[in-house]
Amino acid sequence: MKSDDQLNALRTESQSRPLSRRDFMQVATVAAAAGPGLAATAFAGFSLTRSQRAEAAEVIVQGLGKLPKVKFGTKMDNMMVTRTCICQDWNADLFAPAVELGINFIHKAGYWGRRGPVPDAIKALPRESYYTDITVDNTPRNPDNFDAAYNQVTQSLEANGLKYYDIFRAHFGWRGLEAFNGGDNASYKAFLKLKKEGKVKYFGVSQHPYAKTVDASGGISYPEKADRYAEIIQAEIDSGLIDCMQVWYSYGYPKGAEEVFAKASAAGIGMTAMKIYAHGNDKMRADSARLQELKAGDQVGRALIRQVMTTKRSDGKPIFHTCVSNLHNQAIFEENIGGVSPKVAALDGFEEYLA
Amino acid sequence: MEPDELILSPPEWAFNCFPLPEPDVDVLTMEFVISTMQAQIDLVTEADTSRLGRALHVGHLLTVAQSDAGDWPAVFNARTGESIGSERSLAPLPMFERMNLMLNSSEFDHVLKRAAWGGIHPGS
Repeated sequence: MKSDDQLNALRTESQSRPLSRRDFMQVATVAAAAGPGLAATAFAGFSLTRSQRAEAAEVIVQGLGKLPKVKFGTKMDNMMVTRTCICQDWNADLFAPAVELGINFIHKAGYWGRRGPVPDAIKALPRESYYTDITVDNTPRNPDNFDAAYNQVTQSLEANGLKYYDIFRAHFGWRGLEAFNGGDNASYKAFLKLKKEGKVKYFGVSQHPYAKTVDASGGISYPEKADRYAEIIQAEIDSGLIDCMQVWYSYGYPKGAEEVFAKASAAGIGMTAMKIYAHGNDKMRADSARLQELKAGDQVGRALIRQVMTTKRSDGKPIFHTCVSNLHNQAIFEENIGGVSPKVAALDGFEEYLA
Repeated sequence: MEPDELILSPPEWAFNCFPLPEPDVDVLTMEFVISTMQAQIDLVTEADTSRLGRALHVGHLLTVAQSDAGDWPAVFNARTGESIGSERSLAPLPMFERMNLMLNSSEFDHVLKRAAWGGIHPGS
Protein backbone atom coordinates (compact mmCIF):
# COMPACT_ATOMS: atom_id res chain seq x y z
CA MET A 1 0.00 0.00 0.00
CA LYS A 2 1.31 3.46 -0.89
CA SER A 3 1.95 6.02 1.84
CA ASP A 4 0.18 9.40 1.74
CA ASP A 5 3.40 11.04 0.58
CA GLN A 6 3.80 8.55 -2.23
CA LEU A 7 0.18 9.08 -3.29
CA ASN A 8 0.67 12.83 -3.30
CA ALA A 9 3.76 12.43 -5.45
CA LEU A 10 1.74 10.31 -7.88
CA ARG A 11 -0.99 12.95 -7.92
CA THR A 12 1.52 15.56 -8.99
CA GLU A 13 3.11 13.23 -11.50
CA SER A 14 -0.26 12.39 -13.06
CA GLN A 15 -0.67 16.04 -14.07
CA SER A 16 2.22 15.77 -16.51
CA ARG A 17 1.97 12.14 -17.70
CA PRO A 18 -0.61 9.35 -17.36
CA LEU A 19 -0.25 6.98 -14.42
CA SER A 20 1.26 3.60 -15.25
CA ARG A 21 -1.03 0.58 -14.95
CA ARG A 22 0.80 -0.48 -11.80
CA ASP A 23 0.48 2.93 -10.13
CA PHE A 24 -3.16 3.27 -11.10
CA MET A 25 -3.98 -0.14 -9.62
CA GLN A 26 -2.34 0.88 -6.36
CA VAL A 27 -4.50 4.00 -6.21
CA ALA A 28 -7.57 1.92 -7.06
CA THR A 29 -6.74 -0.44 -4.19
CA VAL A 30 -6.57 2.50 -1.79
CA ALA A 31 -9.92 3.73 -3.13
CA ALA A 32 -11.59 0.35 -2.72
CA ALA A 33 -10.24 0.07 0.82
CA ALA A 34 -11.72 3.46 1.71
CA GLY A 35 -15.13 1.78 1.86
CA PRO A 36 -18.55 2.24 0.23
CA GLY A 37 -19.29 5.80 -0.73
CA LEU A 38 -15.78 7.07 -0.04
CA ALA A 39 -13.75 5.87 -3.01
CA ALA A 40 -13.71 9.12 -4.97
CA THR A 41 -11.68 10.86 -2.28
CA ALA A 42 -8.78 8.55 -3.04
CA PHE A 43 -8.96 9.45 -6.74
CA ALA A 44 -9.22 13.18 -6.02
CA GLY A 45 -6.42 15.25 -7.50
CA PHE A 46 -5.34 12.62 -10.04
CA SER A 47 -5.47 13.40 -13.71
CA LEU A 48 -6.76 10.14 -15.16
CA THR A 49 -7.06 8.88 -18.70
CA ARG A 50 -10.52 8.06 -20.07
CA SER A 51 -10.10 4.33 -19.43
CA GLN A 52 -8.73 4.96 -15.93
CA ARG A 53 -11.76 7.15 -15.20
CA ALA A 54 -14.02 4.31 -16.31
CA GLU A 55 -12.22 1.94 -13.94
CA ALA A 56 -12.43 4.47 -11.12
CA ALA A 57 -16.17 4.67 -11.78
CA GLU A 58 -16.43 0.89 -11.39
CA VAL A 59 -14.89 1.12 -7.92
CA ILE A 60 -17.31 3.91 -6.99
CA VAL A 61 -20.33 2.00 -8.34
CA GLN A 62 -19.35 -1.11 -6.43
CA GLY A 63 -19.34 0.91 -3.23
CA LEU A 64 -22.72 2.52 -3.83
CA GLY A 65 -24.57 -0.67 -4.80
CA LYS A 66 -27.83 -0.93 -6.75
CA LEU A 67 -30.36 1.78 -6.01
CA PRO A 68 -33.95 0.87 -5.15
CA LYS A 69 -36.93 2.29 -7.02
CA VAL A 70 -40.11 3.84 -5.64
CA LYS A 71 -43.48 4.63 -7.18
CA PHE A 72 -43.35 8.07 -8.76
CA GLY A 73 -46.66 9.38 -7.45
CA THR A 74 -49.95 7.74 -8.34
CA LYS A 75 -50.87 9.55 -11.54
CA MET A 76 -48.40 7.92 -13.94
CA ASP A 77 -49.59 4.32 -13.95
CA ASN A 78 -46.92 2.22 -12.31
CA MET A 79 -43.88 4.35 -13.01
CA MET A 80 -41.10 3.35 -10.60
CA VAL A 81 -38.01 5.51 -10.41
CA THR A 82 -34.78 5.62 -8.45
CA ARG A 83 -34.60 8.31 -5.79
CA THR A 84 -32.18 10.33 -7.84
CA CYS A 85 -32.13 10.87 -11.57
CA ILE A 86 -29.71 11.39 -14.44
CA CYS A 87 -29.51 14.86 -15.93
CA GLN A 88 -28.67 15.42 -19.60
CA ASP A 89 -26.01 18.04 -18.89
CA TRP A 90 -23.95 15.93 -16.49
CA ASN A 91 -20.38 15.25 -17.38
CA ALA A 92 -20.37 12.49 -19.99
CA ASP A 93 -18.23 10.20 -17.81
CA LEU A 94 -21.09 9.81 -15.34
CA PHE A 95 -23.81 8.26 -17.51
CA ALA A 96 -22.37 4.73 -17.60
CA PRO A 97 -21.89 4.49 -13.81
CA ALA A 98 -25.38 5.93 -13.29
CA VAL A 99 -26.90 3.25 -15.52
CA GLU A 100 -24.85 0.64 -13.69
CA LEU A 101 -26.43 1.77 -10.40
CA GLY A 102 -29.87 1.30 -11.93
CA ILE A 103 -30.80 4.98 -12.23
CA ASN A 104 -33.71 4.90 -14.65
CA PHE A 105 -35.08 8.44 -14.96
CA ILE A 106 -33.45 11.05 -17.18
CA HIS A 107 -34.19 14.73 -16.75
CA LYS A 108 -33.86 17.08 -19.77
CA ALA A 109 -33.41 14.15 -22.20
CA GLY A 110 -35.12 16.29 -24.84
CA TYR A 111 -31.97 18.34 -25.28
CA TRP A 112 -30.10 15.32 -26.63
CA GLY A 113 -29.85 15.46 -30.35
CA ARG A 114 -29.18 19.19 -30.47
CA ARG A 115 -26.85 19.37 -27.47
CA GLY A 116 -24.79 16.28 -28.15
CA PRO A 117 -25.81 12.71 -28.95
CA VAL A 118 -27.65 10.32 -26.67
CA PRO A 119 -24.80 8.76 -24.63
CA ASP A 120 -23.80 5.23 -25.62
CA ALA A 121 -24.63 3.94 -22.14
CA ILE A 122 -28.25 5.08 -22.61
CA LYS A 123 -28.50 4.14 -26.28
CA ALA A 124 -27.60 0.56 -25.42
CA LEU A 125 -30.67 0.21 -23.14
CA PRO A 126 -34.11 -0.94 -24.28
CA ARG A 127 -36.17 2.24 -24.58
CA GLU A 128 -38.86 0.87 -22.26
CA SER A 129 -36.34 0.29 -19.46
CA TYR A 130 -35.95 3.97 -18.58
CA TYR A 131 -38.04 7.13 -18.30
CA THR A 132 -37.35 10.54 -19.75
CA ASP A 133 -38.66 14.04 -19.60
CA ILE A 134 -38.37 16.86 -22.09
CA THR A 135 -38.17 20.32 -20.60
CA VAL A 136 -40.31 22.33 -23.00
CA ASP A 137 -39.02 25.89 -23.06
CA ASN A 138 -42.45 27.30 -23.69
CA THR A 139 -42.67 28.87 -20.26
CA PRO A 140 -42.30 31.37 -18.80
CA ARG A 141 -41.35 33.51 -21.77
CA ASN A 142 -43.79 32.08 -24.32
CA PRO A 143 -46.78 30.77 -22.42
CA ASP A 144 -49.01 31.09 -25.45
CA ASN A 145 -46.76 29.65 -28.11
CA PHE A 146 -48.38 26.35 -29.02
CA ASP A 147 -46.24 25.86 -32.12
CA ALA A 148 -42.94 26.38 -30.29
CA ALA A 149 -43.88 23.75 -27.70
CA TYR A 150 -45.14 21.26 -30.29
CA ASN A 151 -42.13 21.77 -32.56
CA GLN A 152 -39.59 21.46 -29.78
CA VAL A 153 -40.91 18.01 -28.91
CA THR A 154 -41.29 16.68 -32.45
CA GLN A 155 -38.00 18.09 -33.74
CA SER A 156 -36.04 16.82 -30.76
CA LEU A 157 -37.42 13.30 -31.22
CA GLU A 158 -36.35 13.40 -34.86
CA ALA A 159 -32.87 14.50 -33.76
CA ASN A 160 -32.28 12.05 -30.91
CA GLY A 161 -34.36 9.01 -31.86
CA LEU A 162 -35.73 8.47 -28.34
CA LYS A 163 -39.15 7.57 -29.89
CA TYR A 164 -41.18 9.27 -27.15
CA TYR A 165 -40.83 11.12 -23.85
CA ASP A 166 -42.57 9.90 -20.76
CA ILE A 167 -43.04 13.40 -19.42
CA PHE A 168 -43.70 16.72 -21.14
CA ARG A 169 -42.36 19.13 -18.53
CA ALA A 170 -43.17 22.85 -18.81
CA HIS A 171 -39.73 24.33 -18.14
CA PHE A 172 -39.56 27.09 -15.50
CA GLY A 173 -43.33 26.85 -14.98
CA TRP A 174 -45.87 29.65 -15.12
CA ARG A 175 -45.33 33.09 -13.70
CA GLY A 176 -48.65 33.22 -11.94
CA LEU A 177 -52.26 32.13 -11.89
CA GLU A 178 -53.12 34.21 -14.93
CA ALA A 179 -50.48 32.54 -17.10
CA PHE A 180 -51.37 29.07 -15.79
CA ASN A 181 -55.06 29.81 -16.36
CA GLY A 182 -56.29 26.71 -14.58
CA GLY A 183 -54.33 24.62 -17.07
CA ASP A 184 -56.00 26.13 -20.12
CA ASN A 185 -52.74 27.31 -21.68
CA ALA A 186 -50.68 26.65 -24.79
CA SER A 187 -48.32 24.21 -23.09
CA TYR A 188 -51.15 21.97 -21.98
CA LYS A 189 -52.83 22.12 -25.36
CA ALA A 190 -49.58 21.18 -27.09
CA PHE A 191 -49.20 18.33 -24.60
CA LEU A 192 -52.67 16.98 -25.46
CA LYS A 193 -51.90 16.94 -29.19
CA LEU A 194 -48.50 15.33 -28.63
CA LYS A 195 -50.06 12.74 -26.32
CA LYS A 196 -52.57 11.78 -29.01
CA GLU A 197 -49.66 11.29 -31.38
CA GLY A 198 -47.85 9.03 -28.88
CA LYS A 199 -44.91 11.39 -28.45
CA VAL A 200 -45.44 12.10 -24.74
CA LYS A 201 -47.39 10.41 -21.94
CA TYR A 202 -47.66 12.61 -18.88
CA PHE A 203 -47.82 16.32 -18.10
CA GLY A 204 -45.35 17.86 -15.67
CA VAL A 205 -43.85 21.15 -14.67
CA SER A 206 -40.53 22.42 -13.41
CA GLN A 207 -42.03 25.25 -11.39
CA HIS A 208 -40.00 28.23 -10.18
CA PRO A 209 -41.45 30.59 -7.54
CA TYR A 210 -42.17 33.92 -9.19
CA ALA A 211 -43.09 37.04 -7.27
CA LYS A 212 -44.70 39.53 -9.64
CA THR A 213 -43.28 42.97 -8.85
CA VAL A 214 -44.34 46.33 -10.24
CA ASP A 215 -41.84 49.18 -9.89
CA ALA A 216 -42.61 52.93 -9.54
CA SER A 217 -42.60 53.45 -13.31
CA GLY A 218 -44.99 50.56 -13.88
CA GLY A 219 -42.31 48.11 -15.06
CA ILE A 220 -43.11 44.50 -14.24
CA SER A 221 -40.57 41.90 -13.25
CA TYR A 222 -40.77 38.39 -11.81
CA PRO A 223 -37.98 37.81 -9.30
CA GLU A 224 -37.80 34.25 -7.97
CA LYS A 225 -38.51 33.84 -4.24
CA ALA A 226 -38.93 30.50 -2.49
CA ASP A 227 -41.56 31.84 -0.09
CA ARG A 228 -43.89 32.57 -3.01
CA TYR A 229 -44.59 28.98 -3.97
CA ALA A 230 -47.90 28.34 -2.26
CA GLU A 231 -50.34 30.04 -4.63
CA ILE A 232 -49.15 28.60 -7.94
CA ILE A 233 -48.52 25.10 -6.56
CA GLN A 234 -52.00 25.03 -5.00
CA ALA A 235 -53.52 26.07 -8.35
CA GLU A 236 -51.59 23.33 -10.11
CA ILE A 237 -52.80 20.75 -7.59
CA ASP A 238 -56.38 22.00 -7.92
CA SER A 239 -56.29 21.80 -11.72
CA GLY A 240 -55.80 18.03 -11.50
CA LEU A 241 -53.75 18.25 -14.71
CA ILE A 242 -50.23 18.03 -13.32
CA ASP A 243 -48.87 14.48 -13.10
CA CYS A 244 -45.45 15.40 -11.76
CA MET A 245 -43.72 18.45 -10.43
CA GLN A 246 -40.10 19.52 -10.02
CA VAL A 247 -39.56 22.25 -7.45
CA TRP A 248 -36.85 24.04 -5.50
CA TYR A 249 -36.45 22.57 -2.04
CA SER A 250 -33.66 22.30 0.47
CA TYR A 251 -32.73 22.39 4.14
CA GLY A 252 -34.20 25.34 6.01
CA TYR A 253 -36.81 26.15 3.36
CA PRO A 254 -39.90 28.22 4.23
CA LYS A 255 -42.52 26.08 5.97
CA GLY A 256 -45.22 27.30 3.57
CA ALA A 257 -43.36 25.85 0.61
CA GLU A 258 -42.80 22.54 2.38
CA GLU A 259 -46.48 22.30 3.29
CA VAL A 260 -47.73 22.90 -0.22
CA PHE A 261 -45.24 20.37 -1.63
CA ALA A 262 -46.55 17.86 0.93
CA LYS A 263 -50.08 18.57 -0.33
CA ALA A 264 -48.98 18.01 -3.93
CA SER A 265 -47.29 14.77 -2.96
CA ALA A 266 -50.36 13.59 -1.05
CA ALA A 267 -52.47 14.38 -4.12
CA GLY A 268 -50.49 11.74 -6.03
CA ILE A 269 -48.25 14.10 -7.96
CA GLY A 270 -44.77 12.68 -8.65
CA MET A 271 -42.36 15.00 -6.82
CA THR A 272 -38.77 15.86 -7.75
CA ALA A 273 -36.59 18.14 -5.62
CA MET A 274 -34.01 20.42 -7.25
CA LYS A 275 -31.55 23.11 -6.03
CA ILE A 276 -30.85 20.95 -2.98
CA TYR A 277 -27.18 21.88 -2.70
CA ALA A 278 -27.34 25.41 -4.07
CA HIS A 279 -30.07 26.47 -1.64
CA GLY A 280 -29.06 24.50 1.43
CA ASN A 281 -25.32 24.13 1.68
CA ASP A 282 -24.70 27.27 3.73
CA LYS A 283 -27.34 26.35 6.30
CA MET A 284 -26.33 22.71 6.52
CA ARG A 285 -22.64 23.52 6.77
CA ALA A 286 -23.40 25.83 9.69
CA ASP A 287 -25.53 23.24 11.54
CA SER A 288 -23.04 20.74 12.88
CA ALA A 289 -25.65 19.01 15.05
CA ARG A 290 -27.87 18.25 12.06
CA LEU A 291 -24.86 17.20 9.99
CA GLN A 292 -23.97 14.72 12.67
CA GLU A 293 -27.52 13.32 12.79
CA LEU A 294 -27.43 12.77 9.05
CA LYS A 295 -24.20 10.77 9.47
CA ALA A 296 -22.57 11.93 6.29
CA GLY A 297 -19.29 13.10 7.84
CA ASP A 298 -18.20 16.30 6.17
CA GLN A 299 -20.06 15.51 2.94
CA VAL A 300 -22.59 18.31 2.92
CA GLY A 301 -24.08 17.24 -0.43
CA ARG A 302 -24.83 13.77 0.92
CA ALA A 303 -26.30 15.18 4.13
CA LEU A 304 -28.58 17.51 2.19
CA ILE A 305 -29.90 14.74 -0.02
CA ARG A 306 -30.65 12.62 3.04
CA GLN A 307 -32.34 15.60 4.66
CA VAL A 308 -34.56 16.37 1.67
CA MET A 309 -35.39 12.82 0.70
CA THR A 310 -36.48 11.91 4.24
CA THR A 311 -38.62 15.00 4.81
CA LYS A 312 -42.07 13.60 5.36
CA ARG A 313 -45.74 14.40 4.81
CA SER A 314 -48.12 14.23 7.74
CA ASP A 315 -48.94 10.59 6.83
CA GLY A 316 -45.28 9.66 7.34
CA LYS A 317 -44.44 9.16 3.66
CA PRO A 318 -41.59 11.11 2.04
CA ILE A 319 -42.68 14.26 0.19
CA PHE A 320 -40.19 13.73 -2.62
CA HIS A 321 -39.89 10.60 -4.70
CA THR A 322 -36.72 11.59 -6.51
CA CYS A 323 -34.26 14.44 -6.87
CA VAL A 324 -31.94 15.94 -9.42
CA SER A 325 -28.40 17.20 -8.84
CA ASN A 326 -25.92 19.03 -10.99
CA LEU A 327 -23.03 16.54 -11.10
CA HIS A 328 -19.83 17.27 -12.92
CA ASN A 329 -17.22 14.87 -11.63
CA GLN A 330 -16.88 11.51 -9.96
CA ALA A 331 -16.28 12.89 -6.47
CA ILE A 332 -19.50 14.90 -6.50
CA PHE A 333 -21.30 11.97 -8.12
CA GLU A 334 -20.30 9.68 -5.27
CA GLU A 335 -21.07 12.27 -2.59
CA ASN A 336 -24.58 12.94 -3.92
CA ILE A 337 -25.64 9.50 -5.11
CA GLY A 338 -24.36 8.10 -1.81
CA GLY A 339 -27.17 10.12 -0.21
CA VAL A 340 -29.78 7.74 -1.66
CA SER A 341 -27.75 4.53 -1.42
CA PRO A 342 -29.07 2.06 1.17
CA LYS A 343 -25.69 0.33 1.14
CA VAL A 344 -23.87 3.51 2.12
CA ALA A 345 -26.60 4.49 4.59
CA ALA A 346 -26.33 1.11 6.31
CA LEU A 347 -22.59 1.52 6.60
CA ASP A 348 -22.97 5.05 7.96
CA GLY A 349 -25.61 3.95 10.44
CA PHE A 350 -28.20 6.26 8.91
CA GLU A 351 -31.24 4.15 9.58
CA GLU A 352 -33.84 6.29 7.95
CA TYR A 353 -32.30 5.43 4.63
CA LEU A 354 -35.21 5.66 2.25
CA ALA A 355 -36.65 2.52 0.78
CA MET B 1 -41.25 35.53 -28.60
CA GLU B 2 -39.19 33.25 -30.83
CA PRO B 3 -35.91 31.99 -29.37
CA ASP B 4 -33.88 34.30 -31.61
CA GLU B 5 -35.81 37.43 -30.64
CA LEU B 6 -33.68 38.25 -27.65
CA ILE B 7 -33.79 41.28 -25.46
CA LEU B 8 -30.14 42.11 -24.82
CA SER B 9 -28.53 44.23 -22.14
CA PRO B 10 -27.12 47.57 -23.33
CA PRO B 11 -23.44 47.96 -24.29
CA GLU B 12 -22.61 50.12 -21.27
CA TRP B 13 -23.61 47.43 -18.74
CA ALA B 14 -20.95 45.32 -17.03
CA PHE B 15 -22.47 42.20 -18.56
CA ASN B 16 -23.37 43.75 -21.90
CA CYS B 17 -25.29 41.90 -24.60
CA PHE B 18 -26.57 39.40 -22.04
CA PRO B 19 -30.14 38.14 -22.53
CA LEU B 20 -32.79 39.85 -20.39
CA PRO B 21 -36.17 38.37 -19.47
CA GLU B 22 -37.80 41.81 -19.82
CA PRO B 23 -36.48 45.19 -20.93
CA ASP B 24 -34.62 47.05 -18.17
CA VAL B 25 -34.60 44.10 -15.78
CA ASP B 26 -31.04 44.04 -14.50
CA VAL B 27 -31.13 41.21 -11.96
CA LEU B 28 -30.51 37.94 -13.75
CA THR B 29 -30.21 34.32 -12.71
CA MET B 30 -27.34 32.35 -14.20
CA GLU B 31 -29.82 29.61 -14.99
CA PHE B 32 -31.83 31.98 -17.19
CA VAL B 33 -28.74 33.26 -19.00
CA ILE B 34 -27.36 29.81 -19.71
CA SER B 35 -30.69 28.30 -20.66
CA THR B 36 -31.23 31.15 -23.12
CA MET B 37 -27.75 30.84 -24.59
CA GLN B 38 -28.04 27.06 -24.92
CA ALA B 39 -31.29 27.63 -26.83
CA GLN B 40 -29.40 30.06 -29.08
CA ILE B 41 -26.71 27.48 -29.76
CA ASP B 42 -29.46 24.98 -30.62
CA LEU B 43 -30.33 27.21 -33.58
CA VAL B 44 -26.82 27.35 -35.04
CA THR B 45 -26.55 25.92 -38.54
CA GLU B 46 -23.62 25.58 -40.92
CA ALA B 47 -25.05 28.45 -42.91
CA ASP B 48 -25.70 30.71 -39.93
CA THR B 49 -23.40 30.66 -36.93
CA SER B 50 -24.27 34.12 -35.68
CA ARG B 51 -26.03 32.79 -32.58
CA LEU B 52 -22.92 30.92 -31.57
CA GLY B 53 -21.19 34.29 -31.64
CA ARG B 54 -23.68 35.58 -29.08
CA ALA B 55 -23.04 32.61 -26.82
CA LEU B 56 -19.29 32.99 -27.21
CA HIS B 57 -19.55 36.60 -26.16
CA VAL B 58 -21.46 35.59 -23.02
CA GLY B 59 -18.91 32.83 -22.45
CA HIS B 60 -16.00 35.21 -22.71
CA LEU B 61 -17.47 37.58 -20.12
CA LEU B 62 -18.31 34.67 -17.81
CA THR B 63 -14.77 33.34 -18.07
CA VAL B 64 -13.54 36.48 -16.38
CA ALA B 65 -16.26 36.28 -13.73
CA GLN B 66 -15.46 32.70 -12.67
CA SER B 67 -14.34 32.37 -9.04
CA ASP B 68 -11.17 30.59 -7.96
CA ALA B 69 -13.41 27.72 -6.85
CA GLY B 70 -14.67 27.44 -10.42
CA ASP B 71 -18.22 28.68 -9.92
CA TRP B 72 -20.28 31.80 -10.60
CA PRO B 73 -22.90 33.79 -8.73
CA ALA B 74 -26.33 32.22 -9.19
CA VAL B 75 -27.94 35.67 -9.18
CA PHE B 76 -26.24 38.87 -10.28
CA ASN B 77 -26.82 42.41 -11.42
CA ALA B 78 -25.94 42.56 -15.11
CA ARG B 79 -25.81 46.36 -15.04
CA THR B 80 -23.18 46.63 -12.29
CA GLY B 81 -21.67 43.15 -12.41
CA GLU B 82 -22.31 42.62 -8.69
CA SER B 83 -23.24 39.23 -7.23
CA ILE B 84 -26.53 39.06 -5.34
CA GLY B 85 -26.82 36.69 -2.39
CA SER B 86 -24.49 33.84 -1.56
CA GLU B 87 -25.87 31.17 -3.87
CA ARG B 88 -23.34 29.88 -6.42
CA SER B 89 -23.87 28.19 -9.77
CA LEU B 90 -22.09 25.75 -12.06
CA ALA B 91 -24.69 26.14 -14.81
CA PRO B 92 -22.23 27.56 -17.37
CA LEU B 93 -20.01 24.44 -17.41
CA PRO B 94 -22.03 22.33 -19.88
CA MET B 95 -22.19 25.33 -22.23
CA PHE B 96 -18.43 25.77 -22.13
CA GLU B 97 -17.90 22.09 -22.84
CA ARG B 98 -20.40 22.27 -25.68
CA MET B 99 -18.69 25.27 -27.25
CA ASN B 100 -15.32 23.54 -26.99
CA LEU B 101 -16.74 20.54 -28.84
CA MET B 102 -18.49 22.62 -31.49
CA LEU B 103 -15.36 24.65 -32.20
CA ASN B 104 -13.00 21.69 -31.81
CA SER B 105 -11.13 23.93 -29.45
CA SER B 106 -9.46 23.90 -26.07
CA GLU B 107 -10.31 27.56 -25.50
CA PHE B 108 -12.40 26.87 -22.40
CA ASP B 109 -10.37 23.99 -20.98
CA HIS B 110 -8.99 26.21 -18.25
CA VAL B 111 -12.53 27.16 -17.18
CA LEU B 112 -13.59 23.52 -17.00
CA LYS B 113 -10.40 22.54 -15.23
CA ARG B 114 -10.84 25.19 -12.56
CA ALA B 115 -14.28 23.77 -11.81
CA ALA B 116 -12.93 20.20 -11.76
CA TRP B 117 -15.21 19.21 -14.64
CA GLY B 118 -14.85 15.42 -14.74
CA GLY B 119 -13.74 15.06 -18.33
CA ILE B 120 -10.72 17.21 -17.66
CA HIS B 121 -9.66 16.59 -14.12
CA PRO B 122 -11.84 14.27 -12.09
CA GLY B 123 -12.08 15.26 -8.50
CA SER B 124 -9.15 17.61 -8.50
